[in-house]
Amino acid sequence: MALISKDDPGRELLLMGNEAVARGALEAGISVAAAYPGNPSSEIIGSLAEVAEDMGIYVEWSVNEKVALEVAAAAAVSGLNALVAMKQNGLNVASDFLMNLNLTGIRGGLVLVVCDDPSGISSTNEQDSRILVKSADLPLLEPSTFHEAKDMVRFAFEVSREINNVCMIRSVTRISHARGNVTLGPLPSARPKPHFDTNIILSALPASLTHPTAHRRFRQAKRLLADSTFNSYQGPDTPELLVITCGSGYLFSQEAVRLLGLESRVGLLKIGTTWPLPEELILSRLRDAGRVLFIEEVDPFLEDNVLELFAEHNTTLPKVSFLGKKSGTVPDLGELSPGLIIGILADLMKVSRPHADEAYSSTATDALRNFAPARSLAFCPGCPHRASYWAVKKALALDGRDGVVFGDIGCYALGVLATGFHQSKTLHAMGSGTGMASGFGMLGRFGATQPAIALCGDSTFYHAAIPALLNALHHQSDLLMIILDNSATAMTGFQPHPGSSVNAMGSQAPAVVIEDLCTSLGLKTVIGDPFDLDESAVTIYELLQESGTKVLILRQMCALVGAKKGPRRYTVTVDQDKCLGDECGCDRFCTRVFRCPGLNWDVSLKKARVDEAICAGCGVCADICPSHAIVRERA
Amino acid sequence: MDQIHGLDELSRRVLDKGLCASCGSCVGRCPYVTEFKGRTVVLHRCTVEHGRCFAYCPMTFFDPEAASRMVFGTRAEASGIGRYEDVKASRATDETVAEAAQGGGTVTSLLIAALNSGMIDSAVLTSSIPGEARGRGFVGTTVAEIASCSGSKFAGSHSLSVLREALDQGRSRIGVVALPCQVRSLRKMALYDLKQEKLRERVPLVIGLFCNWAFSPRQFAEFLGKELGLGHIGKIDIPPPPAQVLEVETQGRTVSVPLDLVRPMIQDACRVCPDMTAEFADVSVGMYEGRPGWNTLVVRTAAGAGVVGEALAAAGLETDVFPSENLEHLKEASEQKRTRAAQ
Repeated sequence: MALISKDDPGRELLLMGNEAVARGALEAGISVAAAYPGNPSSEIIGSLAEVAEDMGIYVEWSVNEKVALEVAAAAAVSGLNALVAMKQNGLNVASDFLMNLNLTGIRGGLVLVVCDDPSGISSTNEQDSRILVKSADLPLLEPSTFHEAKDMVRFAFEVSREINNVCMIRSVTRISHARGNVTLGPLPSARPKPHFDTNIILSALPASLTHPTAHRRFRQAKRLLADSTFNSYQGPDTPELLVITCGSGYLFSQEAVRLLGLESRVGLLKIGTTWPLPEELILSRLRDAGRVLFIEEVDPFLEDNVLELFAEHNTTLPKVSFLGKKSGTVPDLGELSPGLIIGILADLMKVSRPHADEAYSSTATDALRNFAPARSLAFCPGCPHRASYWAVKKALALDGRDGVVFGDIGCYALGVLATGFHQSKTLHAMGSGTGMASGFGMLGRFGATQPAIALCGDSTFYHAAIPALLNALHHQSDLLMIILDNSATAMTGFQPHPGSSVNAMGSQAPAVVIEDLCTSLGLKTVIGDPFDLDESAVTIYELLQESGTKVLILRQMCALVGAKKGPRRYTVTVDQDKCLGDECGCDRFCTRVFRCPGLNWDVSLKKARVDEAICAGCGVCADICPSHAIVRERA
Repeated sequence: MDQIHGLDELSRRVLDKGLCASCGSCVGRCPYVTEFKGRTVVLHRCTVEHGRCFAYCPMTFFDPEAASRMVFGTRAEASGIGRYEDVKASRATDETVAEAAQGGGTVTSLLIAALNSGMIDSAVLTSSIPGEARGRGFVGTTVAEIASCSGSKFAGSHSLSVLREALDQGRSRIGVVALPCQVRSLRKMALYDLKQEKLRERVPLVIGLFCNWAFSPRQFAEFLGKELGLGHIGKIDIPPPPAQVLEVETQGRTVSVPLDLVRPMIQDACRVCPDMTAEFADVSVGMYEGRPGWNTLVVRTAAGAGVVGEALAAAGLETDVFPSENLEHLKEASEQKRTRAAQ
């Protein structure tokens, strides 16, 4: 049995933050959970999907975040508890619906968990999702520990049911993806029967009526959150420095204070209910603090709101100097870390940093050098995207009109880097590559001669590229949409999508076949194998010579899925007699340009060789070696 | 090595300027450059500092003195039709060869003699692509294969790209039929031989073709296909003056296209090329204006004289006197090209 569904109240488990969120949802008695995968949020719905059958709940990987929120909202307006999870970009997709749902409200409980990705480690952007709750008049909670993440979800459902509106939780990578102790609470035994009360119409229109309701619900939330135990203070009564912090910043700050021995000089005000603020608590602490430091990840959200509160009450408060992102004391972007906070606090409090072994840094670097190969972000060994990008690059060179590739979101977003030969020239939001290509393909009337290619993965196709494709088709835009179909939502962990024949809960599901959809629209649709480099390149070239909107599906299973499903297709070796090494004149084409990590340059032999441990056996490299030194044999 | 650079510089000086002669010397087996529908295409940056692509390209640089010393053992002859031993009229005696030939069938006869005598073990040729206006490289190793490649091609064909194929096959005596630009490329290969492949020894016979210009293969194909709507292209010919037309066989009929209409399709490389008679070949062969069924044969080196001797001995070729006024006329035409190129 999975950990998160253990019916063992009081038991302490080591859970990942996202699992703790899922457990909280189970303890809150959710009936429905939905999401579109996106790191660092993916494990929330992933772990709920695993226990869906046991727990008798419905879990789905929705086609996109907006639909996920709509699916969850349908349950919530029917009296059920529903959870929806997404990353910061996902919130943007869902926000159109959210900014109307907040006005109609709900009748059950709906908790929206947004996992921000500070530093954009697995995202195209860096964005602070919290800003949206202010314009949406919705309450926001931010967990600082793993146990708190679980309890906050349960509490968020209580708040949501009480105010009849969405309650939002913001996590960050180091909460979602780290692990900590979580004490289990009881699981509910019964769930309500859904019923949609047709006597009441849920319409955001007219705003003149619904907006005041939203405000009223928000004031209600403010009362509910004011005395929350998720807010706490630790430290002296009159600290030399008051640190106001939330989320991951709390743990970092706590660690820094302890390591620097500042417990008697620095106070920590931890805010769990970051919007609306617990005003009385904060004001009472501001009265005794001459200096305040804000520690939070990404934007100065807490900082801005506390400053606003201070300004409101400035006539009754003593002078306070505020330090944070605005003063330049704390970086105004990127992830924070204990080390960073230690540095900031040591400088402010004029204490020395903990002594570190001088040799530590160089020892660690040397150790790393022995294990980690020196290479930049790259597609996996045997990844079909590498082959597809080479085919695209070659086709555009053969075409010679300086064609433009409009990229999209997925593993293949790495096409902006050397691993994709820098072929993707744009990278924005889900489906945007096709939308932009649709627009660029209309510019021929002004003399544009460059052909347009929209690159898009299979999951992204379903998520947001279909409307853009319809737009291109309807307006007869000259573009070639290349769908890199690796039959998986690979980047986030192989979640099923509408093209899969199973759903999130492992049941059989009808697959929406991309080519069937495209041909039914009357689109010229060609299917190719990216591993056939030359043929793919010529196919792309030929499609580029045709006007109108065309679709090419380059289909080859994700190498990681392939590795799970069966043995390698080929055993690949480098014939050391045929490989001429630096004498060849190929300028190390296989390891310098094609750069599959499965191929290494042997520094001592000055020749290429296959790293048998990681070679996926796709055999593509055998076609790129001018000396035919790379040999593939059916495994 | 000072003057030899890499692919970037080749792009800058030749390809980007539209000065590619479509000779094919840079595209054999290189993963960075390829030929596609008659165009030389760079696929990716190469960082090799002294590349064979740049070194062997006829358009990057050419040192006539060095080539002359190597080929003739003398100083370069920078006038007329260049250095030569003898000029003859010639034609194939074999009826099948003569029948298939565009002119006198001399080239085919010489190659057959060279192959049969063991002077060469293979030949790099240009074969026609059925239905298309351009040719492609072909390695012939039998009399039949050699004979199948007869006939003039009027567009660049990248045929030298298959020299790599012949070398990879381990051929040690490769004969090449080459346009003047390709002859220059072959001589550069022999002179610089960057990878010590014994290219001088392994290409013992270069048969040069007279050439005033060639069409840019992609432009010419597009012109015939898109503008004239011509489908399957057969034999192409330019009848002697004053016709001023290009005759294109297509789907059972012959279409005459005024030369003025197709001149814009001439490769820019040909406009700056000073060499009409393949001055650095072992033997050069061209049309004999005013004597249909005959070729002009220019013997330049001992190897050239040798192959002509073999062909005569095997009775595959017959020669006749090439009148001095015709030679003067040829020299004049050749000089004119040299002058035009210099402008």
